[in-house]
Amino acid sequence: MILLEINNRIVEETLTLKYKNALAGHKPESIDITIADFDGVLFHLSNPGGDKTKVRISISLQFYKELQEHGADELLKREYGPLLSTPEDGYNVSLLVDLEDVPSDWETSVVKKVGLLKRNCFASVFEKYFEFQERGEEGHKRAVINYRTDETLYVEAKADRVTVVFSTLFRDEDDVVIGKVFMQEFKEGRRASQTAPQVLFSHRDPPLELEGGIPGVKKDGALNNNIGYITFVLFPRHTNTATRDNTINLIHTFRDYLHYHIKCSKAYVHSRMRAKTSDFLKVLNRARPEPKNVEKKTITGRTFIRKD
Amino acid sequence: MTGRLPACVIDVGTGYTKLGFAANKEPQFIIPSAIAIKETAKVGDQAIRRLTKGVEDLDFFIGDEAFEATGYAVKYPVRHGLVEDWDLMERFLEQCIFRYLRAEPEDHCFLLTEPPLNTPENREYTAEIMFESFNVPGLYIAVQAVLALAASWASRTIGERTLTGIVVDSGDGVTHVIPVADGYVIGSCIKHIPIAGRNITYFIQSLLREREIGIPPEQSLETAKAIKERFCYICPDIAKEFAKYDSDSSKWMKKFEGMNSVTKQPFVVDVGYERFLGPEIFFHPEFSNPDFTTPISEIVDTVIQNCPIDVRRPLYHNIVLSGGSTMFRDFGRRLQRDVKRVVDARLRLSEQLSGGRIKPKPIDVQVISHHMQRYAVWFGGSMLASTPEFYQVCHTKAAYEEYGPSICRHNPVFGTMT
Amino acid sequence: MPAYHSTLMDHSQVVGNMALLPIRTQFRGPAPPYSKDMDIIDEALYFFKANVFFRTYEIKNESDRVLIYITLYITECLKRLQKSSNKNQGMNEMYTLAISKFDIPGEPGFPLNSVYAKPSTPAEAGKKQYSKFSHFLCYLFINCTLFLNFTATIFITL
Repeated sequence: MILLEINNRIVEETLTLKYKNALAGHKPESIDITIADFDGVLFHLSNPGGDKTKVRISISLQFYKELQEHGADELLKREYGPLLSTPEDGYNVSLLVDLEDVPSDWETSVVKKVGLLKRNCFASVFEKYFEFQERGEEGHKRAVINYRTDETLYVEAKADRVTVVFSTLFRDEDDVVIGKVFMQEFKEGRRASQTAPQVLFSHRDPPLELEGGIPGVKKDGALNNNIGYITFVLFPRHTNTATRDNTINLIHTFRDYLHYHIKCSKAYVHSRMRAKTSDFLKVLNRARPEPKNVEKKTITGRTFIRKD
Repeated sequence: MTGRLPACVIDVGTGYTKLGFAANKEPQFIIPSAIAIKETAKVGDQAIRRLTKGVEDLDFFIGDEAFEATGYAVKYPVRHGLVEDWDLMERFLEQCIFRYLRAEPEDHCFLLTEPPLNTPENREYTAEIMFESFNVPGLYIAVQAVLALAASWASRTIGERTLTGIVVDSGDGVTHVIPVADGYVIGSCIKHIPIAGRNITYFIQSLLREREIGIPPEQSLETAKAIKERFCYICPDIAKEFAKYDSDSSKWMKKFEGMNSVTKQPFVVDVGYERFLGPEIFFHPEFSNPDFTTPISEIVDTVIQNCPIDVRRPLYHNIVLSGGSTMFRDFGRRLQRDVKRVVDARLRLSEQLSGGRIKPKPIDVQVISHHMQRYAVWFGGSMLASTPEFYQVCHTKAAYEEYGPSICRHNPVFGTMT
Repeated sequence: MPAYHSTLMDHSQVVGNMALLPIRTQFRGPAPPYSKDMDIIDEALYFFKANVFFRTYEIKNESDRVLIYITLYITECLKRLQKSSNKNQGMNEMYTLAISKFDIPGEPGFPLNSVYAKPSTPAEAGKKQYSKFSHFLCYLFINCTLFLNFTATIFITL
């Protein structure tokens, strides 16, 4: 698995099971599960008011307010329409699925869509700025999304490009090193594929785009040794309507993608280390002194005694 | 962020891995503990052969997808409950976390399980993987049997919650009888029984093979398994049960309807005595296994008799079932009756031998069945990992960096106060 | 819980080390007549299906030996009945079996000689054989229908 999936497996599988159950005419069972997703997202699947024939899927994003400023509500209305319901207490968005009224294309129209809830929440901000760029509008305020406690996402539109900057925090010293190497590969990647967006990685110092006392850049950011900034420069070929969805799919999971690969690299390094250890152990075992006083026989059957 | 997000609970067993988020009642995924990798034909040490260039180390599948992948070799990193191949285990966990749970491991505490008699070194390896590769903020390694005991609290009142009891854990491969006193496993007294779910399936399969001709041979195992899961139960007395079936067969005989996977033709199987004979091999192992003839009730009794004398009574009082193969109807009742019989016979004997001078206090035998039995271990973990106490006892990354992996050798017992 | 044992203990006579138990039948023989509901043959039939699953059997008394003997005989009957297609054929089959030679304890062909004492005199053996067979024969005739139903379902166990 190189790319992370964008849909939530648990939500999809739970709903599929529910629908299959309902279609087979079994008695609906109650449900109450709380699950997490990347970026501190929480899902809650439950029966509102104890009605077992309805399933409510609620999502909580800590930065939903910031997304709302960029039209998350409208986008969700467009995507989910009738499924939307009033948000559950403590959650930002709730969808309601009726198991008694199963649409014929439930797999694609409901299950797949609901599985993409988190992606669609994220999509609004990108779509908005892609539009700005398409219309050639400049001078819009940069979008700032604090998608994790110490990590922020910035999106800015120019007439010819959209810049997306991630700031990310490495919890471990080693991660910085691996992250740097990994990002180096990304820069190189541009050489292999001409259509790839330009990627810049800077460690500790925020990129030039963010400087100039613009609100949103953490002042102490430069002090923290473990912060890295990744800048994507997206050109019209990435933001046009045809490829837009794919771009959003990829870019909104980028931070998790990076950290996933850092972890995989470490796992790979570990397996190399294990291989090397077992190698060294073999060498060490060869160096073990032979036990003394072992009787040795010559080929004729006489005992060989070393005199020293 | 750890306070807001639930902990991840992963129970890696020999056959299946149960994974999900704490505070839920059931695991979100139950996947085979299998991993499918590409193997090269190069010679040499396995560890060196596996080293690759590029991104081949990401080219693998786990769980059900492992069996569907063609051109890959399916491996089981866990054997007899113990991790054997740490390279594969690390990659297995990679996908468990990022593909199935979709959790950023830096944000969640983790509760992993280990079999009784796991080595402290294995705990260190686990700690290394979790803290070094995944940067988890907190890790707790719990003993499966203790979690199964904790799961039985679901059916008891708060005052009766205890971590002393005997766990009868029967999965697909093997059945364990594990005594636990105050949250600590009495390792020297553990016994294994070579009768478990798979043996029941084989037994039913052999009974069906000789009678039913309609079953496609390649589907006979899954048919037997489906019959086991759907129709089997434990009866109090097999001779009476036979008579019951003969006198009114229409009431007791069931029909199983299957579908030939190749021709798509439906087939029908009569299900008769298998219904109670299948699980009966727990109590009469000689039906299917000529080398092993001790009934499960006697094993439970022997295990308790081997334990220190001061815990025997509480152990008899709290016999807890766990695992899918204990889900047969009336399994608990039958076990309770049979153990009680053995115990009462012994008490009578000692009374007789003393010439009536000693009147032993009767022993209260109690077998606990509860509705979380199937995934008892996972459920116990999910329950404990959702308490605030969990965050106090789990080992933190800071402590790991300060003292090293040896901190995970010991995982304090907790949860008795709640 | 071990295999099932005979509950009929009140026998007055012993042949070899087998009990001479009453049988509920009108046929003449050495076995005393019996009027209560379960005789040894009923019991053997009742326990048959359960007992054939056990690999070991602890003989607790003389009646248990009779139980085993009858169980062996039932097995033989079932083997023959398996081939027959209808009730009449089955009856004939049973009749042939009853008058043909079936090894009794003490004879070289009997499989379980180690647990059976040899009858002291041939006369006694003959008497015993006669008694057992004649009674059995009739019993099986009476129950032939039952047996035929039975075979359909329990052949699997053999």
